[in-house]
Amino acid sequence: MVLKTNITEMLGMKHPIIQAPMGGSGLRGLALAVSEAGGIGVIGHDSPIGSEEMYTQSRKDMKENLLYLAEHTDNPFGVNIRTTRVQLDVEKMCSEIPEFIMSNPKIKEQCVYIVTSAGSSRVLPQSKSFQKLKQSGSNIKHFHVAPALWLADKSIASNVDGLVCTGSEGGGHQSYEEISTLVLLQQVTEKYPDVPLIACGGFATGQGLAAALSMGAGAIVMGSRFIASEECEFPKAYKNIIPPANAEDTVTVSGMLGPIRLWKNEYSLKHGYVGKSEKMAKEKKLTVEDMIEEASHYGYVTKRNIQDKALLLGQSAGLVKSIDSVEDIIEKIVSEAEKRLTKSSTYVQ
Amino acid sequence: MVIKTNITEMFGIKHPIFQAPMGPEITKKLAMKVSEAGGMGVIGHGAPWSFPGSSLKARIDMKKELEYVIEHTDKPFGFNLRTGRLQRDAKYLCSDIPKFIFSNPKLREQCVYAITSAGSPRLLPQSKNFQKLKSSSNIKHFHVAPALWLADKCVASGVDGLVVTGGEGGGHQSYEQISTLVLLQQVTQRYPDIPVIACGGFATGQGLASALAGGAGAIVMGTRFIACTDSTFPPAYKNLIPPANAEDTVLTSGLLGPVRLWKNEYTLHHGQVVDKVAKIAEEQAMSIKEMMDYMSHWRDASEENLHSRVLLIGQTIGLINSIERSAKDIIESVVSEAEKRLKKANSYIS
Repeated sequence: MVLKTNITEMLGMKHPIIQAPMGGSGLRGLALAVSEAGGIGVIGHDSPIGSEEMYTQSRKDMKENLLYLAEHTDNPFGVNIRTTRVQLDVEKMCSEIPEFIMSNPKIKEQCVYIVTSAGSSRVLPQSKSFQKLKQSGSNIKHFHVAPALWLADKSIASNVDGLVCTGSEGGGHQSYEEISTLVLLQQVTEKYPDVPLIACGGFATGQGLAAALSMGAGAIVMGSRFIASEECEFPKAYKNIIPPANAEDTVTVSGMLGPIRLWKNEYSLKHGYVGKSEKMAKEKKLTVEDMIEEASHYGYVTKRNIQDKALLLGQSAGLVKSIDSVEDIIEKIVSEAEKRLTKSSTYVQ
Repeated sequence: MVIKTNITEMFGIKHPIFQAPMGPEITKKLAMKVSEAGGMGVIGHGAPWSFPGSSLKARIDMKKELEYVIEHTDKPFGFNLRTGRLQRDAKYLCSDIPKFIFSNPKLREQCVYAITSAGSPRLLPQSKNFQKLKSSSNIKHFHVAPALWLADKCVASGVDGLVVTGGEGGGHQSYEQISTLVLLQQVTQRYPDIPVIACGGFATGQGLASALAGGAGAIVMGTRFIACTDSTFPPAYKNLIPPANAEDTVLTSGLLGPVRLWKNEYTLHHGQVVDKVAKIAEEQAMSIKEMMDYMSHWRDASEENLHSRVLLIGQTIGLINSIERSAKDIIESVVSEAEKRLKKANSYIS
């Protein structure tokens, strides 16, 4: 059995499960495994903030990763572009990546999902090469990540094809609004009943998938659950913190790009949390040295330095008990969700 | 049509919707109206904690409220007892209230839901009077669990079920700050057979549908019911809800741990949530005068003093656009929307 929703139909995948783009080196091995298992694997956007050479390298890496996926699977996949203020090459990204997709017929066929995040929802639709790609018969759809209702409004005004609604229990980058996935999904489905919707933040089980679909989402995104997979390229030390972790072992702190949910360790507990205006003032005063120091905490994690690193992780860490294969994870969640949906529909009498 | 779950069956109610107990306001009318509409109305625990003399008054008030409900409806309803450390009369309440219910046949028939919160889940089951009441009535004991380790404690205390409440909800919260979605998955994974009521962040049919699909048998709504014609909350309190956004609440350090409040001048300059150890030390160092001063911010909200009040409210304020609907109207529309959603989601299976 399968779960067929507006999103699985739109993107042509088997299961309504999408992998969260998660920094690192693009995580192409994980993305491949997710797409092969019937979900949508997503190539992440590496290079937070850096020099011209770093930006050039990150665009090159992204293209290579897309090519890698097209060479290793025939299933659909996606890519993430961060469009934040501090991402100085964002326009180049939004122009070069669609151009690259367009240039390779197999990538053009399979790369059906492009998700922008952490900044403006307009940069990509305004890109001429993206417009060209869309009009050239590609099935590519543009989604933007909306962590609050007013950001959903902005995304809709930018003519996105759909929304990724992400609640504050999720790992990694967050918003100052700190709205939970449950509340945000209700808000968005009330205001935009017809907009395709993907739910993100706090999902790791079949119960979660069933809950999201019952609310009106057409798919879920999972991050932490997929970090704890055999195929994820994250360091062993990073993966190994997940099975013993409790849901309360994460904390939202002030990261370089706004609030960020991290594993509780010496680094994150010392880092603290400040509000939006204070944070923006602080960011303006940051020196290059400060930024390099901060960025050093985002480097390679080992058993030895694990207390000193920023480990992006969501509350769903408390739901993950073992490191499993991607295929097992997806199959188990879909089959549990089917049971739950069958059961809850019998309640209606 | 109706939605029939393990919880509606357990309590003999028509709809899987509970009203959150919300002290210190008097919610007897709201509780009665929610029960009349087929949900579960719940009498709140009025006295925040015991000052000399306030304890006796709180018990007398609660008994009067229980009597009020049975005078106005024949439907099932419930009551809440807080069992926190600062609630010095908790043990006495756990003995006195069950005794009172036992003594009145109509109360014994209708008062089927005892919910303890903010403290130990053991106090009520240990009360001899409660045991006596249980053996001669259909009353069930649920405890509020805002984190998995607290759910473990409740289950070990032999509760009949759990109210799992996530950090997005209004009012008293826990230091763990787990979202309703995550907590519900945690609890249904570990305790697949325990009756669960989901709380925190619910105000629509979409929300009810998601809770039932996630494994709960009912939802609790607080903020949604504050904003209805049957609620007796001050008009200024109710009026702040329709224009508010979901992000207009903030988690602050309350007297009984973290508390989610409306963002105003008072809450923005009050303590933000600190860690548990520091907070407990702060609480213990508080004088009675400081407590009284703090409590003075909790009552009688009006247009003039709205910015100096403590207004308990959840993130669902962003989902509510009107205060003109009755509890019955709200319950029926939430249920009917949930029915549609559950059927639709079931049709995805192919």
